[in-house]
Amino acid sequence: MASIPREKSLTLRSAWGILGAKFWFFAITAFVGLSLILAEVLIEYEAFEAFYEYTRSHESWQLDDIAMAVLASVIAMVFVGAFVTTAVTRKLISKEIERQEASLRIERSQRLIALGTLLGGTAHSLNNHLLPVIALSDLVRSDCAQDTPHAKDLEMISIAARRAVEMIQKLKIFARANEGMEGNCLVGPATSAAIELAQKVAPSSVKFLLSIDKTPARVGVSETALEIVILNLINNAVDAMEGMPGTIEIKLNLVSHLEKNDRRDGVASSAWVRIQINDTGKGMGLDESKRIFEPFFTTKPVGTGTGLGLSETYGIVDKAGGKFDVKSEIGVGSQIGILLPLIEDAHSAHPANI
Amino acid sequence: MAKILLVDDDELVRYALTRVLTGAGHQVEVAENGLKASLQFKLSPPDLVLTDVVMPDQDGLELLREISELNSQIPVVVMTGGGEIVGQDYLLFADRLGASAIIAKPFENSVLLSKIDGLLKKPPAIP
Repeated sequence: MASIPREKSLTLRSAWGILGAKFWFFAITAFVGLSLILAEVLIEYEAFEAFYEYTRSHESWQLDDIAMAVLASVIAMVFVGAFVTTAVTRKLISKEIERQEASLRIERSQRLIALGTLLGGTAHSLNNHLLPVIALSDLVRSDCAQDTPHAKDLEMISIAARRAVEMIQKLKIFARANEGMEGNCLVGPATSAAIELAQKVAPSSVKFLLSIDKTPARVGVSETALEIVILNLINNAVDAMEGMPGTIEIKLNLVSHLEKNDRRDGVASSAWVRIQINDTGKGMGLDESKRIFEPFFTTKPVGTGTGLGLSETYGIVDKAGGKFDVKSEIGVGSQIGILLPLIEDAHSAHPANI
Repeated sequence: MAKILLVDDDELVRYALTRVLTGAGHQVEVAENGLKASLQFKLSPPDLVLTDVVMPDQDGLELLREISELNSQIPVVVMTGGGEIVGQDYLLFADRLGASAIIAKPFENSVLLSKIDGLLKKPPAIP
């Protein structure tokens, strides 16, 4: 997955492109025009002679030096002014480009997910349609005498339907792999990348406090999946602030986390990573905080959001053997912890090829 | 021989499963969504509920929650279309909400019937 380019430098060609030919035409014309007008004015008022007279009118060399210095500093100011303006504009433009790219990248991710949802819905429909085919042909076949043509025909119907079911399964596997939801990643860099993305599109009223442990650690979620998890939680934190200024604190550290029922496949994992996302939003009551991961549960007004974000997040984390730790207080904010078990570094980061 | 409440929004699925269940000697009542199912559940409690998970107008999960809130001992078998929204796991929630069994469509008739028989034989769990 391509990473967002840092500090996109404003080259001559891109400056031309961004400001447009019309602007440059005007700028060049203005320069030539202003120069001519200024020259005309100076000549008209015999500026050169006036200056010469002034220098001849007194014996003080220092005054002449000061006059030259003033002239020189005016010229220097013009250059420096131009330089400062260019630098400021360059910075503003590159920030805007970054923001747009981040937006596009998030949109692309969401489109892939939407496509996955579409495929999933199609698979659901197809499975539904195949159920009567298999159920009823098997039912009739059980009523037929064996080794009759009817029984044979019905058996063929059944086999064909089962092949269709297998195809649907394959399609689903392919769709998941294509979305980049399979695989593993290094949790530190992936988290940092996701946070950077979120920061670019978050409103400026939200301040981010980050504390990310850089020790290399691998978890069983793909980079894309982790991005979704973190973006979902940050989005929720931002929404909880309801436009008011606030702070989102994100901490990532390795922890040793041992509970009796932390056995996955019979092996207790004591090496975990904890990603903590604390916000100063409006907070939640106990009932609400218990239900946040349910599909379609949402406290937002109708029409905003699908209510699916957090349940998706839950599914991703649970699949990787992780868990959540949710604390919240109304009027204070929420503290959501994601715990993910570390996996062995022996695996490569690439998902299996289909 | 039991009274089964079958809940699914697909009419052909309702037809097919009704045929399979009655063929095995059960009595079947149908509902096309969770809302109607919960009404029927209260009016005429079945011995077992067989429900699809994703349906408009109150889906299977909400029905499950209602039933578990009623502290009912009636077993609920949840059917999944296998195409649940990518990244989410309805199965997880069905499990947490107290589904007695989960079965993925399309399934073998024999698998469905033996699961149902197994659940009907079980004595009610000690609360």
